Amino acid sequence: MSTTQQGTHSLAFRVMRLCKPSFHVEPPFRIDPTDLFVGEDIFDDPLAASNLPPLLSSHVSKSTDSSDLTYGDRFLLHHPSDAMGFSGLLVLPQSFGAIYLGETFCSYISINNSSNFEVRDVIIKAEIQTERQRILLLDTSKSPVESIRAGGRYDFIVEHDVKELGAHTLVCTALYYDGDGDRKYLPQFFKFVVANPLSVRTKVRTVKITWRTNLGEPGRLQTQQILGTPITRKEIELQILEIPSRINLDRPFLVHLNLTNHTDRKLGPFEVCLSQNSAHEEKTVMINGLQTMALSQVEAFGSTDFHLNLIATKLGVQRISRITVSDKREKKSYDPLPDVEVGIIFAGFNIQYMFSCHLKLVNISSHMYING
Amino acid sequence: MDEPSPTADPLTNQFGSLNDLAHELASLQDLATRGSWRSILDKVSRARSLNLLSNPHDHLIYLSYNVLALSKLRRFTDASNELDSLHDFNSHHYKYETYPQLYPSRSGSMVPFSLRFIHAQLPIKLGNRQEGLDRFYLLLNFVRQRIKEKESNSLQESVKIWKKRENFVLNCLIGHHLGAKEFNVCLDLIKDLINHDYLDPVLISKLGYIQMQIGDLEGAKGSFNRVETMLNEGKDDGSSFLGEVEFRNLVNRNKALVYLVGKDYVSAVREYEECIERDHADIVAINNKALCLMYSRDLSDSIKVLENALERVPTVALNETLVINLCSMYELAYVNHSEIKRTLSNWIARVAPDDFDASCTRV
Repeated sequence: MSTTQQGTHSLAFRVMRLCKPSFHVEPPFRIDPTDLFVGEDIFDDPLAASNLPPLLSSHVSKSTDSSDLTYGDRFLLHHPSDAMGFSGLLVLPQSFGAIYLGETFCSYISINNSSNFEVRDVIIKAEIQTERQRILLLDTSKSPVESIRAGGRYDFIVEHDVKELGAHTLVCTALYYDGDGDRKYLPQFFKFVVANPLSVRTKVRTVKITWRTNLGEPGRLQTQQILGTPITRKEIELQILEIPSRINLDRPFLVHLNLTNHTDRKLGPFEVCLSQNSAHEEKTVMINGLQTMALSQVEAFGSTDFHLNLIATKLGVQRISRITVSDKREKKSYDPLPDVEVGIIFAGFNIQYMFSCHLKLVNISSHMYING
Repeated sequence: MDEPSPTADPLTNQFGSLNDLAHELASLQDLATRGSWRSILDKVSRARSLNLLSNPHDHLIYLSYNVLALSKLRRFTDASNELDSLHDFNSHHYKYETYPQLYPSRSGSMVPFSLRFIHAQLPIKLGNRQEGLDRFYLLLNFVRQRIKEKESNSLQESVKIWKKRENFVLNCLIGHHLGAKEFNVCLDLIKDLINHDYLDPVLISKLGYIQMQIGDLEGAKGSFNRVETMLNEGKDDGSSFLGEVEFRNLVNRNKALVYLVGKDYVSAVREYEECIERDHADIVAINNKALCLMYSRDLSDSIKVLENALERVPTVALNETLVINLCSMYELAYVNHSEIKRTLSNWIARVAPDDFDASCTRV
């Protein structure tokens, strides 16, 4: 990532991006010795139930004994949550990583004297060079570093708010007197690319977006003012209030919706259905029962809550697609709601995660087959 | 398997020592705590070839140590193959009642539970995350069924043990979801754990770390405040695993993280130093203090802190994350860093347990 000029230099730059560190996570192979010494059902035996615990407790470390010079903690659980492999240990960024518009570029810069002689009067500069401009981050011209001894180092940390996309170069230069008294010039270049974190499509004048990434590292963007058509408020608004967190295959479930009338006149009556798209794709989540649901009129500026009775016919991640409301009297349909993804599970399991999962159907009779 | 040996005298205490539980178990356990996993493989191999294992439970326990050793040595395929040789954990071959002469009036599974855990975790280490997660969730179901069974039969001690296992599997799941950055699931699972169990300050702190990781700093502070309140109110309900020093250090470390995220590295270092003063083997405080020093532009001292720890408390400090951090610091501090990394690497080779992953030095 760095390029230098030809010729021998006493000095060299070492650079490391200092984004926030992250928590180390790695679930380990650490166990409770009970789960190794004896069969899993041994405590059903009353003799074992009374005699084993005292024996076992002497082999489970209850408190960290710093005079314990073994590697026991690498294989025994000290606290139950050790199984998570997430102790709060922080790890330095191991690669440059991605850097996005709106973030702050922070870097540790170390200038090392790897020669056997002192160098003197070191003028150090660090700049960011982009297509459009050169931004000075550090300049010791006014007070040069008097000396860096043989084997010594001079460190600094620079920060820069990234406001441009594309290629950036961190240019580090040192002007110094080497051991022979020659005035030397060392430039080093470290390239990186700034990407766009988000694609923003808006219907308002400007959008200000802030976010936090790793360990709360902030980022912010503001779009330019957008001159476009002013917003037309919708006449009616349909929104989903609640979907059950656990939806079972082939079992009806209720979705709680609200219909709001934003106009100054009574509207309706309405019909709600799951409409077909142009490709006539088969739906895996359907209305259970009559395929259209009737709703009575809604007063001016009023709203009504209702439940759609749905049923899912396939496992895994499915879509509730195109919930559409139509006004029967004015004979018009409004735009359908965006699709909602839900996870469909088999009722016999107690599975608590739903998304991006692939479920296998396993025979859950009295035996569990491990190679099923 | 050989002809099973006759039952021991029922009046003898069968649970006096580890060796009563399985052939030379004390020696296996000693090797394991020293991290001598290769020696364990040797010992198991020897015991098998010399037919030293007479009982089915001995075979299972030796197999467990073997599978664990292979896993520790990152020989995941070998571990998996050995597990597969059992075919079916629930087979009658592995039930006490199948051998009434050996285990009079004892019934149930003699499979050590760690085998089921390793069976679930191995696919993940082999890169087949989906399979591993499925196995963990099936295992969770299995454990919960066992709890219901034992409860209906009023087997108190068994219920306790199986509930511990339920807790364990949930913690494993949180770890795996966390590793895959599936934060919403993690938050749900960990909040569930916190609400169902006794209030555990370590767990609540970890909730705080997850909140911090996703950028919910206010949430994290809230969690840390809860923990500090628990310390101040003397909430140690006896089933907590925390000694007083550990509890205090936990609170200080949580404070340090808040400072760190706010870039107040000086205050973070101060908190970590309090921890180290109380417990000079608090490796999380030592490691994180070193990072704070580096972020304060003090690379030299950050290196010293880590090198110092390796020298003073090697059995605690010798961990892959700390070494990765130290090597990153070496790469930054030295133009010719290969030499110093090699010195470190050589020292590690002499001192480290068999399962230490030396690739972390990037030498």
